[in-house]
Amino acid sequence: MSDDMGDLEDFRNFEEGVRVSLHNKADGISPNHRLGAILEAETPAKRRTGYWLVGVAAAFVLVAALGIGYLLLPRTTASTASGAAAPAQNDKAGQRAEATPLAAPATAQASSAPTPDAGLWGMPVYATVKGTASQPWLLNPVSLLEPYTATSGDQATQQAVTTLVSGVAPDGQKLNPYGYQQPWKAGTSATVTVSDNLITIRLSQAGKSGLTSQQQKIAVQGLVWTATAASGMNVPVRVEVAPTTSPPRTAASRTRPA
Amino acid sequence: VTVATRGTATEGISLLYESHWAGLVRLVWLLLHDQQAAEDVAQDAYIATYRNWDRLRDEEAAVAYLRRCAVNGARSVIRHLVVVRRETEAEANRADAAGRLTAPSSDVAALMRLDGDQLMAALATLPDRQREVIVLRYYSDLSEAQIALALDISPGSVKTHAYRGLRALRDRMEVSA
Repeated sequence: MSDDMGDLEDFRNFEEGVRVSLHNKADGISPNHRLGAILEAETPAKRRTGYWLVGVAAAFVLVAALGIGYLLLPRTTASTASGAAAPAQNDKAGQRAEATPLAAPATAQASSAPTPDAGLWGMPVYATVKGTASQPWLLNPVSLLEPYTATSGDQATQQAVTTLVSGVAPDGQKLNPYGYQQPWKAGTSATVTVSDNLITIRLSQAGKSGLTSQQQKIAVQGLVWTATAASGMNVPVRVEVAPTTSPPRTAASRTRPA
Repeated sequence: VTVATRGTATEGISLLYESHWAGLVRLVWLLLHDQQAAEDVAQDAYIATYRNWDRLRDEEAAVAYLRRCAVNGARSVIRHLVVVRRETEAEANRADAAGRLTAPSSDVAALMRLDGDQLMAALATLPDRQREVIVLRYYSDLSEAQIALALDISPGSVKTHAYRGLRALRDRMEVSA
């Protein structure tokens, strides 16, 4: 009993020591003022409108640019993708590329599809962030705590991919990890179809122009990793860009067979 | 209406800045040990709060949202450092194989070495949640309910993380002493 009391007293002393030490360390910091930058960042006129290209020329440039990324992806990120369709094998539905996903990284936030009764789930999203000199972009696994509103694993995959492409989660939470880089244009939508052996992501438009092949590769890799992590399936992922002459499909497609 | 709302938001965020800016930067600094990064994270948290001002019902909700953004931002920085460190080490290993350069030290480890305080070093080794709970509890002096709100976890989880975090801190400091 007395030992327990002694332990408790030690613990409380340690708690107090932690409190004092944290204050001593942190109170020595003199933050610089940034109110001006904060207010300026939200001035409507300062909001970024993007540098979109418009019309036919834009569609051609962007699809072509992203197509290069797709072409690189199977060679550089997947050892078993040799049989994947190359971008040159276009069909009338638009540009296509197929990549076998890498094995889920050890840091993946979700290794299996969430269950509907979970209430909340850590929605896994692989966001593009600033990297190193030789690898300007990297993927950062982000787990967004979200209300689980999906009625199936397919919908959950759709939500995760949509969040990655739009930068906004279903509950309005912004995808904004440190060093975040958005490779997809504002207004881009994604339609995800999950089957037993393939996940198809159909984008309404191609990515931003001016990206290097490394950045394009990472952008597509983020789609693949996000889709496989959210679905909990280690299957190939096909990424398509909708044709510019017809409206993209907007609804999630078929349910995975039981 | 828009102008009036924006004006209110500007006044509100300015008041929030006056009362919480320094404390928030210091809180994030305890999580990151990097003042520049702490200011960046705190600034982003303020911008996010400013942007969502109309959806926050009162000052208490605004402060809770601000803290949540700051803690999430700090966690993103740590993850980013880990990702960059992993890539840098991989690059260094490749370079070493060719005999071109030696492996750079890890950013996180370097930050820890720069800070000689045992507590700071031990704090940096805790899992994210434990570190966040310890800092919010013993530096920001928040209640369990406030910490739960800031971290979006249950009060019960706050207790668990606080206890485990404190035990781990004490064990590690005893070992290194």
